[in-house]
Amino acid sequence: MIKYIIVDDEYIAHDIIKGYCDLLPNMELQKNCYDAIEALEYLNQHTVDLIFLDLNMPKLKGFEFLKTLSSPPKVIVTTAYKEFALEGYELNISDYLLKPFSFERFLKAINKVVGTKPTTKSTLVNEVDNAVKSIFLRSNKKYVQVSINDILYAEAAGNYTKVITISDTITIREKISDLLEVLPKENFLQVHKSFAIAVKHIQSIEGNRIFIQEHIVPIGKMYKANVNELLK
Amino acid sequence: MVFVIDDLEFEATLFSFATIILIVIIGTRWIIREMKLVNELKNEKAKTELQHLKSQVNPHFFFNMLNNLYGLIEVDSKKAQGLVLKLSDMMRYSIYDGQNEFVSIQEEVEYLKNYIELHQMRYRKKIQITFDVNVQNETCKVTPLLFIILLENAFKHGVENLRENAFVKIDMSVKKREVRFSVENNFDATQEETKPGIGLKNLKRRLELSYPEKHYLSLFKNEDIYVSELIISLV
Repeated sequence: MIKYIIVDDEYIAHDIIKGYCDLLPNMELQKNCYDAIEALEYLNQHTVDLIFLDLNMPKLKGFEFLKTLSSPPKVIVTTAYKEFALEGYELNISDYLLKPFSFERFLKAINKVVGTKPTTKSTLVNEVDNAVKSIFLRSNKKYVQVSINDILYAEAAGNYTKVITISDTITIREKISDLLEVLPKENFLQVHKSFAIAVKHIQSIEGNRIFIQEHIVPIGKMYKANVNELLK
Repeated sequence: MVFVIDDLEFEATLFSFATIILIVIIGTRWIIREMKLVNELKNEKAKTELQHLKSQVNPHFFFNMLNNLYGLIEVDSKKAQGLVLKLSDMMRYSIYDGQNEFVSIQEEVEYLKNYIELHQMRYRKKIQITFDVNVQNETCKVTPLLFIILLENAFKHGVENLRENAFVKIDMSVKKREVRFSVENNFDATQEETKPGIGLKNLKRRLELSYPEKHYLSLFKNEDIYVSELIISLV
């Protein structure tokens, strides 16, 4: 469950974000805050996983507010101001959404948050971390939560990408390069113009083919070097 | 003593005299032409500067409005339609009419009203806004988009920074000889002061160019109240 609050002085902005979150499983709105003071008061008593933060608000501006938090949760900035993105990333925000933003763009931001959850200090223990990592994939009108561990490989199919998991095949309307962006780099490897695989699911490599469970994935000429790296 | 002027000498004097006159005439003409040219250039420069200074609607305001629209479409499409009309009126005015040298005072008033209405629907907090207009001179024409700068400031430094009890009081009176426009708003006095922005600087320069010696701008701050007043003489 991802507990979130919305901090924005315009109420319609709240409706949009809440509407988007309601389309996803596991998102739980804790409070609507109409300025940063309200948010501070709430966060003094409660903890949340995620804040949707507008920048231009009464009294305390978004970034000033963020600086006052000693251990800030994940933050997705939502604003009409293009010019503060850089400052935002310096403050370690997860994503920066320019109003108005589409659901697809919003989903990307959410995936950046859940893809890196939880924020324990022991990021060295990758394996443990991965056990809880998951992303939302949009298939038709549905949003499916997929554990990153379960993904075997992805295959490009025109404008779509097929994501093959242990139990399922999900077709999403996204380019394979976009998908790879939200997946952890160290675990996935592009082996062909149209194929990217989860390294740990490889069973064997033979010539220009990779065997993953009952699937066979080709290795592209250009990507052969990538695969050879693994065998060193 | 007989004073004789030698014919030759006389001719020479006459000739040099004529030459001097000729040079003076040519010289004066040349100077007048140069001065005209300089003047024209000056005017041209002032015009381009004015064009440059003419404010477009604040882009953040537009994007926030678009976001509100985006959200409203699903919830209340009728209201969203109304918003689109207002927003396009404002854009049209600021993009096209805003380039004219003069606009009718009614158009200006309409623009200010739209701006106020759109702002009122943005926030959940209550804002008290009054706009009193008294037009006695219907044919009055003014330079476009001057007043909006003062109104924008009232929202930017007042309404947007207050958590509650924000008010903006606007008065406009249009008479035969002058236009008076004043905005009064409260602001958060505990917040650190911001430097006078580019908006006011531009407004001052534009007034100098469009209404030299014919305008009066006063900006007045008292505890948590800010009052700005602009008077333009039409004669």
